[in-house]
Amino acid sequence: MPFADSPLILACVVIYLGACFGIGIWAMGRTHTIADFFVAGRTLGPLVVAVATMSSIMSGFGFVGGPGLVFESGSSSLWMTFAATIGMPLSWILVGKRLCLLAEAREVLSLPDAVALRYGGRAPRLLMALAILLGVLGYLGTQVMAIGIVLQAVLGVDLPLALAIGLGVLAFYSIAGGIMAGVYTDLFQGVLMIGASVAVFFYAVSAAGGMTEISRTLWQTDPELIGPWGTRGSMTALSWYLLFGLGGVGQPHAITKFLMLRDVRQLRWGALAAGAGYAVLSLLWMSIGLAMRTLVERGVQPPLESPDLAAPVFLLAYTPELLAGVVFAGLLAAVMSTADSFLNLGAAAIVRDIPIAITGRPLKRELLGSRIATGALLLASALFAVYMKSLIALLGTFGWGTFAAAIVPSVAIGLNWKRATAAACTVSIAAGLVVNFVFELLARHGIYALPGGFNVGCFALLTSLALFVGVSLVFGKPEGETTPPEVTAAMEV
Amino acid sequence: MSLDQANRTPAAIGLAAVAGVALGWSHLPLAFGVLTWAVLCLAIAIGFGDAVRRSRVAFSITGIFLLFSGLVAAVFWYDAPAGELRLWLGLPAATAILVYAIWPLGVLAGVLYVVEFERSILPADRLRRFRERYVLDNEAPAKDGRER
Repeated sequence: MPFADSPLILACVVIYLGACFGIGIWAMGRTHTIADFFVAGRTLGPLVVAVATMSSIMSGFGFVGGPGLVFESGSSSLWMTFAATIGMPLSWILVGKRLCLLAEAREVLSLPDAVALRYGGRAPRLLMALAILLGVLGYLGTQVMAIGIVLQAVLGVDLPLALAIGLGVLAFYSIAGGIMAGVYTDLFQGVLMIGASVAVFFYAVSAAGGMTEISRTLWQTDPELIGPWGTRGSMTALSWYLLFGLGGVGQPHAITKFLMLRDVRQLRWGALAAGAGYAVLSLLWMSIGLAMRTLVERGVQPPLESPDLAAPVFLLAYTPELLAGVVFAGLLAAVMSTADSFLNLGAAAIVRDIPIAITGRPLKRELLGSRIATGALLLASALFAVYMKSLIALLGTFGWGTFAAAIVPSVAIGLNWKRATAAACTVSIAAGLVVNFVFELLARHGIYALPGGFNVGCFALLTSLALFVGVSLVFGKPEGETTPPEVTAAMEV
Repeated sequence: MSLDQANRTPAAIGLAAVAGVALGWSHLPLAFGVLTWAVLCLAIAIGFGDAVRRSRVAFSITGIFLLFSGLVAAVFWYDAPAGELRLWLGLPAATAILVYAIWPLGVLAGVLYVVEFERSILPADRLRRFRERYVLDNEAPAKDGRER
């Protein structure tokens, strides 16, 4: 990553880090119970939930990896980001109301809580918690590295010092303020980036000479770059669309926000606001990648060392310093708020979900335990990120697909279908994990890849979905497996 | 195994998932593209629950499916990397359909949610019955302020 060497950009990032400290102190004053720590005491309003849900999906990958993918393979990854326009409303349609109502009726602080309430027994809760913990470890590692790299570029310091500064701030506000600090950082990031994305879009299109010039240049280089599927082909693009559209409903860092809403009646406008908001954020993903590739092909811009440099190089070279500073601060906010959400999910799995699944009760002094677990997870992910990069890369790659395959059938379908069974939930989560992990490993080591660009995560999602429905329909509920009346009632509202 | 009304949509989504694996594996992208929208629309139908029996909701979801299936088919139809470059609003025709139609029209599902919220998603009488029966008892311990 290039060094920004700009006092204005540095000032924007320092102001942001200061704001994080402020939010952390403010949130600490409002975090007294375990419910405050994990679900913000169910006090959030509809705008905060909508923006925080949208922002937690748009992590650092969206602002760096997304433009990099467009730079490298043209339109292919647009199917990934455009899918969120329908994926966001789908989250509201499938799980918004159900999770809110469950949280009104019982103490539901995490998705494994909801799964345990819906299906009973210990296996669904344990498997769901393990799936979340596995995905969290992978995602956290990549977010931690991203924090270090961004701060390294802005501050011009070595990676260890950059990591120490970034993780120090993150540790303070996530341990002190829990999810409350995370959602308000999400809100800050979302509002900031919606405005910045529109501005960056116009700068990008203008720098490359307009859409017509972009299209002509890329067409002459390789028609597939500006074709509808990009260079990765139609099957990859379409399977990304399905994975990121339907799979968005299975991202725990997004849908646990529904457990935080003050009143279920406030859900109404969130679906549209989050879908439209994410569509605006996609402008940045699309425009930077296309513009930078055009500039490189025309010889205006020297070739990039890595596609992931498309966004930072563009911001530093082709936008005003203030806008670049705002986007860098927004990028850091995106990475840190997503990391905070994952820390919170991981802490819930360690302190609450796994102990309840094994011993029948959470650890004693849950709030203190959650804070310790948050710090330990952050430390472990930093060590993983530095010393076990290949494992982190693998876990990070299959994170989205793992969450989608584990959570979409059991939560998104299961909360809307009374016939769904605990056995189906267990089988589908296990199958989703195994299929994702095995096929990613086989592809990564060049042993076997799915034919025709069919995406592994999409394959795993469809497989677990088919198994979930099939097992529920064929075997039905065994005698003695009952659904609590409040869950049945929540499914009938 | 009975397939009554409540089980039909989940059964359909299960079948669609099996078909999706087969189509993906066989590399039949156009059919997979249409099936993608079938899965998404079936998921919308599951989320709407029994409100999907209302003709307005059913027509809307069917309309979304037909619209997007048509758009995906149009992308394949206009996609001609080796042919002449025809630009629509600055983009090749097939890419223009993706950017100017498929992308923004995804919010139609959100629009349907907003429009149907009071009638189909959260009818006031059903919510009131739920709260009267299950929520009031739970509120008291939640307000004691102690760590749980």
